[in-house]
Amino acid sequence: MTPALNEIESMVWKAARGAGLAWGLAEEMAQAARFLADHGFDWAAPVVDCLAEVERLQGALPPPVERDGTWVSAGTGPLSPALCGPLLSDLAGTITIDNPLRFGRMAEPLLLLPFAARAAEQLHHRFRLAWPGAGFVCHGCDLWCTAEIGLPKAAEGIVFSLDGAAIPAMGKVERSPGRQPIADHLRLRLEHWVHRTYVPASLESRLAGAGAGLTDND
Amino acid sequence: MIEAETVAAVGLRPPDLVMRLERLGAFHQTRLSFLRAMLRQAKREGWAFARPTWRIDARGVGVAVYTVKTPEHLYSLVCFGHDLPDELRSDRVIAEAWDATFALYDGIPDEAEIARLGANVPKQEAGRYQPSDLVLSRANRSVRLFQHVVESLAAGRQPHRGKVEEVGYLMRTTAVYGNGKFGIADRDELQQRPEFRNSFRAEMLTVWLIRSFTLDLVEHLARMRAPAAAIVLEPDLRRRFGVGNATGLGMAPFLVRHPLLIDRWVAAREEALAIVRAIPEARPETRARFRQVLGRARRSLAEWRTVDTIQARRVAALLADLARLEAELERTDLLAQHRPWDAVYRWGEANLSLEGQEYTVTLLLEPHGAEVDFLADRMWTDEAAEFRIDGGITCGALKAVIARDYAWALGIDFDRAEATARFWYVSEEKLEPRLGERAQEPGAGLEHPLAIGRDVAALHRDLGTATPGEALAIFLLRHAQHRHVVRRVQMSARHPYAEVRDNLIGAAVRPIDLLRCKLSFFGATRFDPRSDRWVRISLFPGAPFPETLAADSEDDWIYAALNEPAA
Repeated sequence: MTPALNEIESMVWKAARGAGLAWGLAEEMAQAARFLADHGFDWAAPVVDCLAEVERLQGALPPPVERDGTWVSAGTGPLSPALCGPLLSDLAGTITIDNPLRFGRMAEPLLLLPFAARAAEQLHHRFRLAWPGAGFVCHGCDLWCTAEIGLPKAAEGIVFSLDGAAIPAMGKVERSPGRQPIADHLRLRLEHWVHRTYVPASLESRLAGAGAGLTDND
Repeated sequence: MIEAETVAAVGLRPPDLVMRLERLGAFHQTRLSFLRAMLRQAKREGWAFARPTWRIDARGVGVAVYTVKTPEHLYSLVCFGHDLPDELRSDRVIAEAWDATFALYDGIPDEAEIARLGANVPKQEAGRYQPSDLVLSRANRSVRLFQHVVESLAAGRQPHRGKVEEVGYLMRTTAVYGNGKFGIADRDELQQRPEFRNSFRAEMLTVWLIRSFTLDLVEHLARMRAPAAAIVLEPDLRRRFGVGNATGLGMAPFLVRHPLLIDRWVAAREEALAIVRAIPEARPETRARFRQVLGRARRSLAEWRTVDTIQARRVAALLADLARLEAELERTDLLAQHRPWDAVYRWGEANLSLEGQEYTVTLLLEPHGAEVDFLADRMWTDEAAEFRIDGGITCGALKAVIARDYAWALGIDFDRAEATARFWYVSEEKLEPRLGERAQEPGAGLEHPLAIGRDVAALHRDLGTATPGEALAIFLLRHAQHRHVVRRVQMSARHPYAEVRDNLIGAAVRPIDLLRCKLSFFGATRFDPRSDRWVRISLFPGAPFPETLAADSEDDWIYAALNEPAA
């Protein structure tokens, strides 16, 4: 199946909720997935990995805590981008040249990129998001990739900073001209979570249905 | 800016007045409504229309293609006619077969594309689509009218005008899908095109062309039945047919889930009203035009038929209101005063029902196209552009914003059972939004986030336990459950008409008010509620056809009554 962007957003919104995220965080995950798909990145694998962890912890992700200027997990595992992406976005307006956001070990760091890009777009700032093996510059609506994108399952030493350097000459990431298919096994995982958000019919709901009791064929 | 100064002269109506469900549920079409704005644009830009393909048999089965040429693009409505047994015909969105199915296509489809569409469009939700497919829809014949019209025309006579008036359409759509559904084009892409930038323009174009198909179809079927005797519809009567639409709960959450869009729609209407109210003097021709439209509206509204007793009472009250407005204009010098339109509005506010007040808004905009029509091009937004939460502000600051903008929510006692009697959910069986009874039905644990008032009140309570100077971002790490309403509160602070200011889960909530509001922006008329959860309407009755649009004199067809042939 090759989904439309709106189908991706809608599916991830419900899947994130079904996996256990709060509605507001589910909205953020949905927007992130849409952004990655729109820019030609593989969005489905990192989203499914991230939501699998949400499900494993029954939605109770250990929150990030700030220690010595770095956000680290209050639990034993790596940080979750489901919490750190929104945190990065929330705090993007407060960082200064000398005061970047630093994150400790984080799962699926690519999921931070949409939040950095959105913040750049909405605040009209130039931000840099980097971890060992990957670097991005976001300026307004534009996005550059400044290093070969390593897409590790987890990374350490992630830095989100205001960027004072010159606009990179190369590596501009354009919006994807076409749609990408989603692998069946990933779609099925997402649909499984989506399904959990639906309410099965009951006798009461059937009687109260939207058109119950009235002819609609005239 | 003149416009800003003008608006400031009388001010916009406050959101606490406008954004109440009861008032939103009394909105009527205006000249800013999408279908009227779409037709004005089509006429202004000289869109060209054709019907290059008509392969429909004597039962109505086959394919037809209608094409549209705008200044920059070509589009086609591809129509599939089917042979549907009577017992399968249903207005419910969950049906699986229809009398006709449609796709608005980007370009002109070749035979291979028609074949691809033919393998999918008749299956609607069960088909799969591509970015070249822009809108998807389906419709069923009106049992009451369709056959009567075919039989009459085949017998060489015009159909009974009373029956046409009673039903108003030959087919009813039960869904019009856009924005990426089932793989069709994303709205992001359509928004790049001038003709489709504003809300629901592609959908309105689709329905307008469906109207042509339904009329061509009855005339074709009559001709196939009696080639020698059959006649076509007399032009004035032909024009009276609209397209029916049955809309249910599926549409209700839309206004709540798109706060920035509803703000743009309502703000355009309110800015238009403020511009008109601020006009210092009424020119004689404008006064005459206002009285003329008022008279025509009264005749047209007198043809509004509904089976719903509440709506029937409201229509009667509206007609009485308009009679009183007309009498008031005869009796007094309202229109000779300084700011005469403001005087009319204020008189309405003091003397008329909510239906009457909001219809007065419709009437006030009507003779002022030159002043307000530009606002129809502002009824869209980039929702993603304001998605980010500003987590740098303090909890105290957010609490103050809530106290200012959400007093309506903070004033509700959500500990009372009736304040939370309902819950919105998505049904597994129907895959559609539904409204449940919290105390009687299972599933409240899967409630969708439409209980804005309750959730903002809970956020406000928890903000009270935080240090006022704490950054919102830090508060949200502890309280992720509030994140969806924090976003709304921040949006509403910038967009005053973003929020429906009523409790959407109270025992007294009438979902139909949300449907009616949205449909009024589409330009629907003749609302005919079938319960408090679904409604039938008509789109485009009285409107010109593609082949008559260029010669049409004024954008006032919406006030045409059956007993007053359109000019």
